[in-house]
Amino acid sequence: MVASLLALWDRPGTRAANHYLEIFQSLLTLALGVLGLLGPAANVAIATIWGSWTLQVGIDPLSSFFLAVLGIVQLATAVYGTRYTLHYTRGQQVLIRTLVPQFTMSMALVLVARDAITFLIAWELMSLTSFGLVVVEHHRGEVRKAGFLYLVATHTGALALMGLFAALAAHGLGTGFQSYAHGVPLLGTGLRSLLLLAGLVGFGSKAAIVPFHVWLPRAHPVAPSHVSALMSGVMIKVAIYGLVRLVFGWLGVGPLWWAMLLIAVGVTSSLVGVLYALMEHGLKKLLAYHSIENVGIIVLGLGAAALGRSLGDPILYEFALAAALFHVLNHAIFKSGLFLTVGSVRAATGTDDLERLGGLARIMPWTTGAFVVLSMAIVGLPPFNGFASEWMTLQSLLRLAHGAAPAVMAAAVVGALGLALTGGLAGACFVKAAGVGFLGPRRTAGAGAVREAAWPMLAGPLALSALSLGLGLVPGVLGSLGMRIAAGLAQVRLGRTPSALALSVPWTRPDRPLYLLLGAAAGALVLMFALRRGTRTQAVRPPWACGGEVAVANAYTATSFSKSIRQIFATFYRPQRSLVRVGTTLPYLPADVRYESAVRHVIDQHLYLPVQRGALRSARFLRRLQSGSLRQYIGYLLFTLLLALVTVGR
Amino acid sequence: MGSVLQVTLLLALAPLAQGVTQSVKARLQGRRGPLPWQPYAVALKLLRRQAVWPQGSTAVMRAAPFVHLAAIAVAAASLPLFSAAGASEILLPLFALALARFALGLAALDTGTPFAGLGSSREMTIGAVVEPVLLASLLPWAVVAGSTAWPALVQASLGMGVFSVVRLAAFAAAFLVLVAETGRLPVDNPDTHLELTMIHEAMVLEYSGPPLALILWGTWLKQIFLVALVAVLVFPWGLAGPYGLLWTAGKWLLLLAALGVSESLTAKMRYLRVPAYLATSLALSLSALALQAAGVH
Repeated sequence: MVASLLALWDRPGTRAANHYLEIFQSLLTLALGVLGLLGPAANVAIATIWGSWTLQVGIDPLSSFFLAVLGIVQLATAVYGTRYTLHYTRGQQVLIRTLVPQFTMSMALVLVARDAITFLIAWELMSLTSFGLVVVEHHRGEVRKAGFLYLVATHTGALALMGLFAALAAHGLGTGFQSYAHGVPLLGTGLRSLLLLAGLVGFGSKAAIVPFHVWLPRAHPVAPSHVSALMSGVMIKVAIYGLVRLVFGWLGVGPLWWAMLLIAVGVTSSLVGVLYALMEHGLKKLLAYHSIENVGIIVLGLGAAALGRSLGDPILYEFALAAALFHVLNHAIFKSGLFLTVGSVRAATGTDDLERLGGLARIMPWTTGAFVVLSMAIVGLPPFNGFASEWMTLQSLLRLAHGAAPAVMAAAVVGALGLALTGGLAGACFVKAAGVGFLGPRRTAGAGAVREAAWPMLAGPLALSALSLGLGLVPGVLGSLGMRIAAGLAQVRLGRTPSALALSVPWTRPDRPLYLLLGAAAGALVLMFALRRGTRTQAVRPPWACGGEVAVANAYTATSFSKSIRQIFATFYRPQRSLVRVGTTLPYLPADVRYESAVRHVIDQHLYLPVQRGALRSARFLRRLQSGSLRQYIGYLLFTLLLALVTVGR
Repeated sequence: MGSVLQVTLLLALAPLAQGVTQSVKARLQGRRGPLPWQPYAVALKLLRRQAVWPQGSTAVMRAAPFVHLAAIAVAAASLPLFSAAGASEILLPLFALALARFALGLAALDTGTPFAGLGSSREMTIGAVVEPVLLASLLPWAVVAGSTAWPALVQASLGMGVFSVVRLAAFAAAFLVLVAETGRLPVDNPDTHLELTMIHEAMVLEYSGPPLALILWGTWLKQIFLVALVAVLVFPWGLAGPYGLLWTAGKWLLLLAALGVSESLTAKMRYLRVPAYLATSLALSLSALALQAAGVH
């Protein structure tokens, strides 16, 4: 991998070599992940020595699983990128080709790091390379702004992580991950709670859980689409990896409120994410908000697992953690696939604005097909993969509520209902995205010149769609794999009671509803052909519009589609609208009407705006120190010297 | 095998169930109304007709009726209607119904007409709120059972007093969802073609001929499935006894008649007030759950 990196750096002009190396690198990552999963045990290898310090890397089932996730997405994006990058300028292409392998490489390094220093170095590399990729189109003001926000957010998180590791070192646990696994559970509960909170801020700001999510919907959409796929599909999962490692690998069994906090954060993130996604008309921004939603679902699963562990139920813990890990993989698959299809749409039409797209199904049938399939997967509909992991999460939450203390039951029920509401809203959102963007009449975007994407740009999304269907049909493999990883991670041997297992992945109950589903599908197909033959005289006519002709302007837009949701959840959205009549000589006959509506982002306005204002105000205050006058600076020097002398002299 | 027979039976009976409700409604309105088997005639008529597709529609619209019907059939197969042995998970119908709704909602936008878009928007909005409420109505049984397998839920229901407060609250909650999910007054009006009030009908307005027959059949199947679900969960007695079939038929008839009566007694509710209506069902479900947790049976 290092070799590929160097090769890329040396000759960025030779495109083909770069592409092959990138694909090779992704295959290597995937192979490492799969081998690590198949391999017997975690073996820690010492890679580099700096004096007495060693930088350690190693691999265990948890790391391998995330490596495999990285490898899959990387492979799809690498194939896709061979064509997709061509519509950037040469300078931008060089930038993308140089940074993408380093970005993926640093993510892999984070996953295999086995000591705090290596971890932090890799983490920082990952942040910086992804920042570089976010600002590829840095001539645009909004891109620079988004990039800056991302930089601030990611470094705030990194600060929390440094604090976390510093606190561990201060308590004599050194920097090695192995000593953490043994040492941390022995620390006091108060300190461990602080560590958890630091981890939630540090990893949470990268994973974009609410309220640390503000950077994501701005930064992900402005990056090149295959980079968005990597960031949304994998990078935020790397943060989830850190959270899993911290909560389940190191911290040990904690008080109940840890799990409650995770569940609360998960439900909030998923609902806030999907509600804002519904109001978005830019496809990439919409997808970015859905990343927040899905991270919320993953954290919800983690919360259920933590609750199961605190209650001393090993099967529940393993099952819920398996659900969360499965959703990590699933989200990586469908979200990166969706970003890739939207990238194709952007490349073909020049926009991703739903209000200007439409009717792409007839021009880009394969891209549309992939988008519809992946939409169904992300909504959690059978028989696709999102369904399986959401099923498992839901089941563990329902199981948690059984015979539990009122507080636990309340948390579980709120989690389950929140998940159901999220699923329903996501359904509405993706009917909107696929229906308005790809079906219906053609609107203004790229009139005339639009063509179906080239084969490398189809191969990625279509392969991911097939994978999503496959994992939805055979979820048992991933379910048991996740449970194995979870069992390996639990340090405290929880007594395994061979109780009746009331939890199951889809399709495994008696009578095999899977076969039934397949039967129903086959029956439907047969019926379809039978009917087609029976009604040879199918007709195609203009649709009905009260006797008139259907104008494009009449068709439902994304704004009108989500209008009623905006009204129902008005207390959350605080919608604002303004209607201006232009040229009103007569009040009822305006020459033009200007209508604007917007929703307010409560967290941005009430949490971050004051912080931002405060920071700017203090910066303005500090600016008075910088007067520019030489005499004043000499005065500062003298003052500092005096202060130093007084301090040292004492 | 048992579940295949079960689906076939439900498919065969679905139009009759619709006809029963319609004739109850007609009687209450002082009309004689059509005979209960009128829906069979309607479906047969549509199956013989030519299908007319709107210009510019794609495979999405062609495939949706099949996906819709197949998804509801899977949901119907998961019920423990005649024996608990072949039954599956309560989660499966939830997901399958969501799939059916998604298919029709997407197909509506495929037509590109404002009416279908309007229907799709309304249906998906209500669907988003219905999903947690539907799940909540299953909670009183699922949480007690500690499982999401049908047999365990039926056992949990059997273990509870016949006229317990919990059962009554859970039934009220389930009935409110039943009305909403079958597209009946006060949520939706199945008899109208007025764009201001219709939801489901607007969504499928562009369908005709055999595809429309499939959609109608799917909707009828969904209705009888939901009726059977409430019957088996809330009134689980007599499932396995010698007169099991008779009991089941009786329960269904009562519930179908109740649907017709309730529809005749209520007026259409403003569409944006539907979430408040569904919240009532949610509150009832959660109170049933809380009562149970507090030890009331």
